[in-house]
This record gives sequence, structure tokens and C-alpha cells, in this order.
Amino acid sequence: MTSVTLESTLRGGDHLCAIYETDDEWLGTTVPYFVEGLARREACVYVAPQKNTAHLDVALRAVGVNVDAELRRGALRFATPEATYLRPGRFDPDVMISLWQELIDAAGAEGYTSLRVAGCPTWINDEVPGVERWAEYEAQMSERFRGRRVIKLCEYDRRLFSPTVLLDVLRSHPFAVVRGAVRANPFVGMANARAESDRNKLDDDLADALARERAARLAAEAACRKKDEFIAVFSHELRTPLASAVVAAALIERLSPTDPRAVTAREVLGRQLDQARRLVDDLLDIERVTAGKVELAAESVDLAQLVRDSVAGILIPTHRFDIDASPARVMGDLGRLRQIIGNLLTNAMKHTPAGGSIRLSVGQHGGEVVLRVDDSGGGMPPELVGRAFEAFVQGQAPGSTPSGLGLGLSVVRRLVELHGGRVDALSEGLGHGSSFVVRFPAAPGASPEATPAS
Amino acid sequence: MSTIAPTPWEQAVENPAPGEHVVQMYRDPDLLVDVVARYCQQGFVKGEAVIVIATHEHRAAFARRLTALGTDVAACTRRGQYIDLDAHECLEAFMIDGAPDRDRFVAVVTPHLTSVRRTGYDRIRLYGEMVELLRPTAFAAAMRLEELWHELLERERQPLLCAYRVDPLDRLDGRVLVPAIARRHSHVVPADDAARFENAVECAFVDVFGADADTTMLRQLCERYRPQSTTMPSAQAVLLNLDDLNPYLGDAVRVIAAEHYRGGVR
Repeated sequence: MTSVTLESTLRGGDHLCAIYETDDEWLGTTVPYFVEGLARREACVYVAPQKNTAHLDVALRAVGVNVDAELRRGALRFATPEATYLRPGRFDPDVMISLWQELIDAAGAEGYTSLRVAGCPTWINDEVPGVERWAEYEAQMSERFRGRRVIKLCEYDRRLFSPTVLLDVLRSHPFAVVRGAVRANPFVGMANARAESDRNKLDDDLADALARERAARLAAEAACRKKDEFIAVFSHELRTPLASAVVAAALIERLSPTDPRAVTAREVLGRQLDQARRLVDDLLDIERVTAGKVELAAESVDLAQLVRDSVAGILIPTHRFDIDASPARVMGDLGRLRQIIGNLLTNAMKHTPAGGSIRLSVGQHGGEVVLRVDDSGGGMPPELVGRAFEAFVQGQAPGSTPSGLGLGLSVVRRLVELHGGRVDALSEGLGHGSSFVVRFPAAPGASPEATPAS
Repeated sequence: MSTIAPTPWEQAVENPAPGEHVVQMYRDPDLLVDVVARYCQQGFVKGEAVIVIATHEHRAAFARRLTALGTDVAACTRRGQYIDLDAHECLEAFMIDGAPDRDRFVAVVTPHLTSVRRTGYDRIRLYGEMVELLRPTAFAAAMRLEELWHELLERERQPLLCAYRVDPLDRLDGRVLVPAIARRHSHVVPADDAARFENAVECAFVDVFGADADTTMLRQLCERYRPQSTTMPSAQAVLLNLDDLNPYLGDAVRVIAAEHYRGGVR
């Protein structure tokens, strides 16, 4: 047995643990612990199985302690777990703490300077009712008796306890006996520091998570608002041609087929249904062009002729169209090129008051065919010029109500790009009209002629 | 959209031709007092007599407004140019089992016409609001009374102004009451402000049908496809015909027009 000295550094309220793996280590700690206690006129209590007590008895006697006399006068007591921890038939921390309090009070009443306790709780390895509260009890012992007239030494045989239990022991005892000396238990500080660190990290993580959640929520709400706005606009835009079509159909039903009013109603019906179809087409085109699902059937097309045909195809001309176009061939899909011109015309008409003028020019410049549409409408503020081709963005003349989905120009840009070209928007500001310039690669072999679209 | 030709609806109310049966629809009771006072005053100015059949409160209000307009109501009454009768008492005199009785109606109204003529007034303007008293609980009786008035006007060749507190831009009033009332009058004045009413319906048409040329065309088709036998503003004719073509769209236009009319332009 290696004898160690616990010195007189122990003070009332200290709660120590000693983890050992040999009997020598155990007795090397416990014997001096009690020898010092007896010397300091403390009431000493050892709680352990009978086998441990017998060993301690022998060891104390070996170092000169008159065990019999100390037992007789009550300065030294040996107790079993059954008589203490397990006295109620189950382990109850509250009962046990009360018992210690009674012993502290009794020691004081009997003139002892303090109560000094040691024990070896091997019984916690048994399936004793309430034993799951052992770690809680150890933690309470540190808290409840801090500064009180009691010193407690808990002995753990490393060979008999699981690492989990030993870790709990290290976390719940402020002091540990290390190689015979009492040391502040670094695990407690580490545990506290770790807990604090964990708590701070948790706070940071929580703050981060909350910030991420808030950003995601705001983005989702914005997207939801945008979707709602789009649905409202789309519904409105689809409703107007459908409402017109419904009334036109009702008129056709009530009027004689030869009545000129029925003829007009049929024309209105056709145009309005076509308008509804174009809306849906635009919406589908955005998705199809974006997903690369649009295939171009390329052929040589005279863009100048196509522009003239498109203007001629306007059924109810509400504006004055000035066309300055010389033959200019591009390789492209006839239907899609017609759609590009149609959308640019629709846009120009929408933003130009009835009776206003719209100028279209087409010409070849070097290797490019340039189509230009100038309207005399409300124009665009500078911030809108750069966004004119974004989906769902639309200009609105002061005092007018917005109309359309804001998809037409977006479709134009995507189709132009599919043809290897590019489109630009120009405006000198509100009230100064807008211009859209489309540049396509000229068809191979096409030679530049007159150049009106400069 | 078509331009709105200014319609002299105020003229239709203030200077009705003999035998005309004009109805003014209103929401604001103050407007009614203004309209009736002007109707009476214009009659006095033209040397015509006026017979008013109204509630006690309205009779007092008309007299006050006429006085404010410079008319000596007491003098008019003294010389038999102005007679105001209690609408409730008149109704009681000719209603049998909740319906107006033709003979009793004639017996109640005609003596007053005769009496006025005896004082030297051949042109007599009539204003009656007994129909408005019947409207809320006995609309069919009100319409029957309009028919009796119509017969009397054809016989007597005198003009009559009626007033209903109904709103042509309200869904129920507009779809149910207004067509029935309109059919029984020669002229309909659907709102306090005819120009504003016309503009509100036009704006609503654009909202519902779009702002393109087809909407103008459609509005014209709506207005003309079924000519109304009653003279009324273009906007009112459009609403009545649109109800016939598609009542849901008629409602949609009415609701939006009401917002425009009341200043809540979206």
C-alpha cells in the first residue's frame, strides 16, 4: 500500500472522488483520509460493503489507529449501503441527503468539528430501484453541502464501474484525489466550459438557423406574392378576351346569322379567342424556350416581307404604321420570326395611344440583318429599359392601367437568341417613346442592299 | 371606346313633354329634394301648375327648397298653382287588398286635376312617390300603380315624374328592379350624375372586356342588339342588354362601375 497524505487542504463542504484500480491505491487514499479526520476530531463514517470495511479496519490498525476505541466512542463508524443508501428499500437522493444532514447535525452536537464521510458505492451496479438518480445525487451533494461541515470522499474501483459512470463521477465531483494529492477536478471545469461553449455554439447555431429560416421565409413569401400577382394578372388577362368571347357568342346566338351585327360578333369572337390562345402560348413558350424544347425549322426568310405581312395582318389598325424595309434574308423559323415581329408590334401598339405612329425598318448591315421598331408611346424610365425583357415586367404609362402578362418581350428575347441574334431596348425616358432593335445574322450569301434600319 | 355624347337628362326631368312618364333613380335623398324642387320650379316659371303627392317630410323639404330657389310657395298654393297631397292618405284611399284599384285611383287623382284646371292652369306637372312607398314591400303593387298612372297620363296628356330609391349599379336593384321600373316609364334617369354614370360604366367595360377596339365594338353591339322601348342613357341600355346576354358579366360590370361611380376607382 502506498501511503499518501491528503494534507489539511480539505475544507468543509469538499466533495472528492478517488478512482483507483488496485486495493493499494484505494487504501493508500482512504486510510490517510480517515487518519487525518480522526486527528482533526472529526466524526468519520465509512459506508461500504462488509468486505471493504474489513480491509479498511485492518489497514487502519496497521497504521496505529485504535479502531476499537474510535468505534466505541463514535468517532469512527462503519455502515453498510443497506443501512444507509438503501434503507428506504430503494435509493432516494432526498432521503439520503436528509440522512447526511442529520449526521452533520449530530456530529456537531457531539462536539466533533465536522463530519468526514467515505464510501464505495459498488451497489449502484446492481439493479436497485432509484439508482438511475445516482449521478443527480452526486451533483446535489456538491451543491447542497458546499461550505458545510462535511467532507465527502467517493471511491470508485475502475474495475467495477462502467466508463459512463466514471465519467459522471468525474463531472460531479469538484475535487479528485490524484496520486495521493487533492486536486481541483479539471473535468468539472471542462464540463462547465464545454457546457458554456456548447451553449454559446447552440445560441450561434440557433441564431444562424433563425436567420436562415427568416431569409427563406421572406424569399418564400416574396415568391408567393409574385405568384399571386402573376395569377391575378394572368386571370385578368385571360378573363378579358374570354368575357368578350362569351358576350359575342351570346349575341351570335340571339341574332340572325345574316344580321350584320352577328357577323361583327363572330369577328370579335374569333379575335378574342385568338387573344386568349396567344396568352397561353406566351406562357407555354417561356417554359419551352427556357427548357430548350423549341426546335427551329430554319429556312431562308425575307424579314422585310415578313414585317409587311405582319402589319397587313392587323385586323383593326388603330395606329399609323410607317414601314421602311429592304429585302434582308435571315436563316430562321418562319413561325417564330413572325411571333417575334408580332410581339414587338403588340408591345408597340399597347404602349402607344390609338392614332399614334409606329415605325418599322428592316435592312442588312454587313453580316447582320437589323429590325427596328420605334413607337411614339409612353417610353420607359431608365430603370425599366434594362429590365424590359424580363418575364412579368411591364411598363405602364402614367394614368393607364397595366395590361398583359409582361411575357411578350421576354419571349422575343429568347427566340431571338435561339436564332443567334440579340435584341436591345432603347428609350430616352417617359414620354419619348421606345425602340427595340433586333439583330440577326444575315443568311449566308445574302448581300447587303439598302440599309434603312440603321 | 366611343365618346360619350352629353345627354340632357336634367332637361328630361325639368322639362318633360305632355304625357311623358319620367323616373328618377337616386341613392341620396337630398338629390331627390333638389330634383323635385327644380321640376316644380321650372313648371312655375313656365306658368304650369304642379301637383305633388309625397310623404309629409318630403312635402316640407320640397317647400323649403322651393323657397330657397326664390319661389313663393304660399302664393302658389293660394292661387291653386301648387297642390301637395299626402302620399299615405292617397294610397289608403285607393288600395284594396294590397293592390291599387283603378276606379278609386282615378277618383282620388282626377278631382285635383280638374280643380287645378278650373283655376286656369292647363299644363299640370305631376310628381308622385306612392310607388316608392309600395316598392320595398309590395313591388308588384307599385308596378300596377305605374300602369294606372300611365293610363291616366295618356288620357290627361300631362307629364309625371316618379322617383325610386334604387341603385342601378347594385346587383339586385340593377338586375331585378331597374328593368321592371324602366319598362313602365317613357324616360329613365338612372343616377344622380348622368355623365359620371356613363363614364363609370365605360371604365367598367374596359376593366371587364379589355381596352382594345373590340370592346368598343362589343359595347355598341350590346347597346343596339335589343332596342329599349324606354328612353335612357346609353350606359343604362348597355347594362340592361348585357344582363340579358350574360347576367354574370352584367353583375361584373355593375360592381366595377359602382366603384368608379362612387370614386373608389381601382
